[in-house]
Amino acid sequence: MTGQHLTDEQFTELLSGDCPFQAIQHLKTCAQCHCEFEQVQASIDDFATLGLRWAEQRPAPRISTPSVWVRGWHALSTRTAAAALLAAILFGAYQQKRMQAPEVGPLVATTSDRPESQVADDNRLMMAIDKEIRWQADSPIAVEHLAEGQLHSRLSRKLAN
Amino acid sequence: MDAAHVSSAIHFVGQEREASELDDIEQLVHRYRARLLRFVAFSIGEQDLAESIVQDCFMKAYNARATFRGECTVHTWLHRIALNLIRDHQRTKKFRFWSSFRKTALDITEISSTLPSAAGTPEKNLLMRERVAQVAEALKELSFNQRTVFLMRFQEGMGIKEISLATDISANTVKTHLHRAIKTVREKIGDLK
Repeated sequence: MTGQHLTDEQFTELLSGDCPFQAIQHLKTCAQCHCEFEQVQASIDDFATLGLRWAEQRPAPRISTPSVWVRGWHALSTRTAAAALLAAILFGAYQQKRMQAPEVGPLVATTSDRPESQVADDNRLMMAIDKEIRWQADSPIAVEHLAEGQLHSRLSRKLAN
Repeated sequence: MDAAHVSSAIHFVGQEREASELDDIEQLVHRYRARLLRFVAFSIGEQDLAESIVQDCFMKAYNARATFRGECTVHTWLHRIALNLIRDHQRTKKFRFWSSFRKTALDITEISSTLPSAAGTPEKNLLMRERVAQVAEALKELSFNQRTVFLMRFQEGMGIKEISLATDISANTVKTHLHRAIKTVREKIGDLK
C-alpha cells in the first residue's frame, strides 16, 4: 500500500482473484478503496455478462461439414487426379526418350553394323582420292574396274558435301 | 498457424480427449460459439469479421480434431485457434477490402440494448450500460496483447496458465499485460466517474 490506499499491484491481484491478506484487510477499513474496487469489479462483470448476452443473440450461421459421400468422392477424385498426373509425367518422359532415340542411334553404331557394299564403296572412294592426290604414284589397291567418269562424278559429289 | 501446430504446443496433462465433443460440430458450435464470438468481437472490434473468424475457427478445429490430444480443454484450444486467426488477419489484412464496404464496428449501444428490460430498475440498467461503455472505451486504449489477456481473464474466466498456453506468452508477461490492462481500465472508470 502506498500511504493509505491499495497499490496498483494489490488492486490487480484482488481483481484477478488472488487475495492478499493485507489488501483484504485494507478493503474492510478503507471505504474509498472498497468503493473503487466494487465499481471496477461490477463494471467488468457487467461487461462480460452483456457481451455474452449480445453474442448469444447473434444468429448462428449453419456450419455444415461435408457428408461421408462428399468426403469419399473428394478423396477418390484427389487420388484420380494424382494418378492422372503421374501417368502424364510418365508418358511425357517416355515420349521424350523416344524423340531422343534416333539422334543417339548413329553415335553408338559401329562399323560392323554398316553393310559390306557401303564399306566397299567407301574403300573405293578413298582409293580414288588417293589416286587423284598421288596421280603418278602406283596405288597398292587396283581400281581399274571403276570407270573413270564414275569415279570423278562420285568424288566431286563427296567433295561438294 | 494451423490447428495441428496449436495442439502440439499445448501441454496439459491428465485430461481426456473430448472426442465426442469435437466430432459433433453442431454441438461444438452450440456450446462455444457465443463465448468465442464475444472474445473475437471485442478483440478486433468488428462484428461481421468476428463472425467470419469464429466460423473459420470452428472449421479449422473440426478439420484438425484428430490432432487434438486432450492436453488442454477444448475451450482453450478453440481460443488459441481463434487468436491465431485474429493474428493472421492482422498480418495479412486480407479482409481490408471487404471491410471497407461493410463497416460493422462493434456497437456498444446495440450490446447494451440486449439487456432485458425486466432485469432491474431503469436506473440500475442505465448504470449497467454506462459501466459497459466505460470498459469498452478503456479496451480501445489497450494494446492487442493487453486486450487479449484482459478478455481472456475477465470475459472467459481463464487462469494465468491457461492464458499463457492460449497466447503463447510466458506467465510473467501475461501478468504484466494484465496489470497494465487493469490499470488502464481502472483509470478510465475513474475518469468517467
